[in-house]
Amino acid sequence: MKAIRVFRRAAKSIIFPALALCFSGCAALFYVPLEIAAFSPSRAVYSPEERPEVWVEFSAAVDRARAEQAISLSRDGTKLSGRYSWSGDRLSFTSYEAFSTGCRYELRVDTSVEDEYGNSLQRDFVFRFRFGSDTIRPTVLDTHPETEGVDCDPYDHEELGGVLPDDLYHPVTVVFSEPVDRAGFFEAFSLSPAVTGRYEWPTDDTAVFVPAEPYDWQTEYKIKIDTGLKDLEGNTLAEPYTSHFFIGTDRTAPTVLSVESIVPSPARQGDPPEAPLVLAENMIAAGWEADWDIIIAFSEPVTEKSVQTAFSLTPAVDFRTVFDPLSPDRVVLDRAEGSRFRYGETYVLQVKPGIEDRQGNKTANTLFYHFVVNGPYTKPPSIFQIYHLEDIAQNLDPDWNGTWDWMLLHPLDTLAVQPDGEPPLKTSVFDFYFTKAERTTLTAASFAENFRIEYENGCIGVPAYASIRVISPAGAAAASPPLPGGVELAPDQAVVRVCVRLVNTLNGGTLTLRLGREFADQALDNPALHNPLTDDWSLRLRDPD
Amino acid sequence: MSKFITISLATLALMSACELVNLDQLDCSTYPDVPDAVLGEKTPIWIEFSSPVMKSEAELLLKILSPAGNVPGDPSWEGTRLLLTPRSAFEPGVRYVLSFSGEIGTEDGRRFTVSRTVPFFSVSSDLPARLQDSAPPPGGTIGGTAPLTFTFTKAMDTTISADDYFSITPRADFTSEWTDDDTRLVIRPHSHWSPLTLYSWTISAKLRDAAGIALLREYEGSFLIQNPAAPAPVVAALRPALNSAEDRFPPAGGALLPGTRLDSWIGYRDAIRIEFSVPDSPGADDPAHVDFASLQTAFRLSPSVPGSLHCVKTNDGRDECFVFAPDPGQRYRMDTVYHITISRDLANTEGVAMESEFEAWFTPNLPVISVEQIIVSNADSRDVNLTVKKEDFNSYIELDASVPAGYSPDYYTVVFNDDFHIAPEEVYSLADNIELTRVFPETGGPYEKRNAVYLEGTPPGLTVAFWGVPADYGTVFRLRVKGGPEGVVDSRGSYLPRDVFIYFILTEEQP
Repeated sequence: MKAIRVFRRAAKSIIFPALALCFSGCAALFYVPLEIAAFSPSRAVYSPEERPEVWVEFSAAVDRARAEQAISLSRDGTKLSGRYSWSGDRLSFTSYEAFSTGCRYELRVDTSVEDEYGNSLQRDFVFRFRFGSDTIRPTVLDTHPETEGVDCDPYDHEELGGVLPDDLYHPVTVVFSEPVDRAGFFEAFSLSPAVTGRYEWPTDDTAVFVPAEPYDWQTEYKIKIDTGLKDLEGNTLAEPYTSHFFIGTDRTAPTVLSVESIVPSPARQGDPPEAPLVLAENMIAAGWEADWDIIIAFSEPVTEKSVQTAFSLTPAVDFRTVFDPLSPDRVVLDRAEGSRFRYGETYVLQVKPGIEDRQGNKTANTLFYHFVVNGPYTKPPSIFQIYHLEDIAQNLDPDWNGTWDWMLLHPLDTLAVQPDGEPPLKTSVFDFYFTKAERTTLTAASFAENFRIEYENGCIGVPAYASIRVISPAGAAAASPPLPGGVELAPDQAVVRVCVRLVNTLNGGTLTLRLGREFADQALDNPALHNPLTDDWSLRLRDPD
Repeated sequence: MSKFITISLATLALMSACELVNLDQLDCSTYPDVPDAVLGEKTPIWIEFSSPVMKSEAELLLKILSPAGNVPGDPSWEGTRLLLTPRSAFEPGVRYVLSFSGEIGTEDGRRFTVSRTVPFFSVSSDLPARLQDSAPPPGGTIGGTAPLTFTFTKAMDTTISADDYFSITPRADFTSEWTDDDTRLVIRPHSHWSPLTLYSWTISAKLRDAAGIALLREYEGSFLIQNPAAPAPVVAALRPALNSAEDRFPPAGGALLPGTRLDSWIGYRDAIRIEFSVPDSPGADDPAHVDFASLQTAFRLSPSVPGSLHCVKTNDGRDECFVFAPDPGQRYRMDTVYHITISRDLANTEGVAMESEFEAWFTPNLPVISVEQIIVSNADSRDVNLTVKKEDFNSYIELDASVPAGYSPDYYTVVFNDDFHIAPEEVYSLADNIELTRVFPETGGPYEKRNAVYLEGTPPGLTVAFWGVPADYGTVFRLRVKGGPEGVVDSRGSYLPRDVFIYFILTEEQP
């Protein structure tokens, strides 16, 4: 009994108070999670007119400083500022900014909040809410240019470009299931490659992008609307929308159909008559004339810009590229005035890649056309020998032995010239032997304009020209005095005979026969065609002193 | 039992009286001591204990909290008072919290749990300023020169440079101005916003109100530059104009040249007016002007003709039209296709570029003129010695001009085609382009002209007589009529495409 009494006393004085303390303050002794007992807003959706208070009520008294740090109200991910107030265990938050529609709000209390015994929330408290009754996401109903599906493959696209040139500015139309937020649309919409343009909104649910610059040909454009697009109440697009279209209906690059010469008009009437020469790629064509131009025909119209630098000639020849918009499928390479191909040279015409048709298809390869300028009609005249006869009246000398004293001249030969003041005055003859082109003749006028006898130190008197005439093969036999050595002229040869009175002086020196490079032949079939000498010609001789 | 309790209490009282046991509570006072007091920006906060406490523990527990987290401070002691001085000045208007929470020991070994939370403000307890309104609203559309306006709830600190708180992407040069009692910020582009561009702007919390309180938060938005009242310029056509700046380049008549090719379109030295289509721009007070500087970049004439672009003004100083005018003495050439390009560099004064390049081709309106024949004769006898038709021009083969003995070929008539026309005062300048030289036996000339007579008729012809032309048989002459734009040019600017020449030799006239 005594033991029972002792136990009762102990229970009275120690155990009961301890148990009482234990049950009344278990939060201090055991971990009892802090909880959010109540909160506001408590509905996920409010009408736009409603203005709910924002507060949370804790299940126990909390450390207020920590609680104020732990609570946050954010709008679309951005924390809002505001003021705090307390009423018992209820912490109210008054935002500085009013609620608005089209946004997503989140009320959050993180686990840093503690009650006075250090117990915290088991996990973050999060509640999301919004304003507006619309909870249906917007969708893209239609686009134009359009594809068959949203997740179209790269080959599932619409082709534009059949109607020039409007398709280069084809608007992109997007029809949504409901009106959308325009600012969000501008951010969410993209066209790739990028094109600048303006936006139009024929209705609130339809956006039209009108390019302000042309699309590029042969390019696929991707339309994308990302999930940032929102309707007017903040519902976003469920998944990105893509579509694409292609600019161009013609995928075929232009080709060179032909490269051929342009012959002068009237043409030269040889046998056969002069006719255009067609060049073949990577083949060397012979018979090109030095005064021809070139015409290049394409399989379809090409753009002027792309052909301007598409051609080159090697060796260089000065020419311009003539493009006629009325005949856009051909280009003429027109030699500059006074420019001509150098006779005997082999030229390469290079057609560079990048020549575009009207839909931007470009030639891919470099083409080469070779031709040798050795046509029969533009061979330049050339002196191959010169004879000199001291006295054209040699046959009148009683002592004449019947042989004309023609002298074949070589450089620095001593020229036989009668001394000054020694009668009778003699007229000497120079016969210039030329080779020449077919269907041409040499002319005294051109020779006279370009021929000079130059002398130094007054070694001869001023030459007095008597005549200049051209002896053709047909007239060779009748020439008087006869051509030296009875030489017959080939069909491609001619002689220019210069009769001139020269007298020797007491001064010594050299004299030079010069023919300027502008000396030219004359085409028989076209008075405007002439083949000039390749270069200035000269022959230096000594006087007899 | 009661005896035990009595003895215990007596013992405790005795020990307490002898300071062997301390039963006092630890009292604390703080500054600020009441919620939402307003402190100076550098005022320290403090907590004072009724008994000396473990300083290191107290320093760890005393904190200044702000919405951004802990505010660093320097602790110091004055007796039992722990002061915490913020290292940086408090932000005006920010709600801070003095926080002392946790277990702390006194120097005499007792331990207490203390919790103090006192919110306070610095400088002012006013609400921070908010951005109340922006124009355009986020996602709005404005014209290229329109300003942006931002309205705040309070007067703001206008001494802060806008560069410090306002940013815009893509980057743009702007000016800023405060209006309406410093509550409205107006941002204007230096020249104009880049057209058809979506701009994003940000106003950071570095902006403060007049009391120095930071803006509530950072604000951002976007706007689109698109002005229906200033549509992209469109070149409608080109029009021939008289090349007279004094008369403001009046239209010269003739067809409009749209983006196609017209042959025989323009006079050889006419100006070209560039006509723009008048846009259908409802609501536009004033059609957007074309930016003349951009036209100078965009305009190209190929082959080039030396000339310049002019901006013709109306009497009240407005742009009337733009004109390309060849420089004095410059001209368009015959047989040449000119290509005018106005590229997309062309823009209106808001920078809105032309959407598609304008191209047009033309040849000048220059009738083909030609020399039909050349008649060689003698000034005295007027006997015709040689008539050369154009089929034989430019041959080096000398033609026979048979003349009576003693008569020189000094009188030449150049007959032009019917389209040729010159004014009487142009006769001598025309004659300057006719040149007679001797080729053989010696070179001679060119011979001086004695007179020149132009016979206007069908066909028209110019007769030129020369001094000192020799009459020796066998003499070879060359008569040249100079071609090209520097040669024979008629009053409309047509010229012989190239030189015309003949060679002839004097031969004895056969009875």
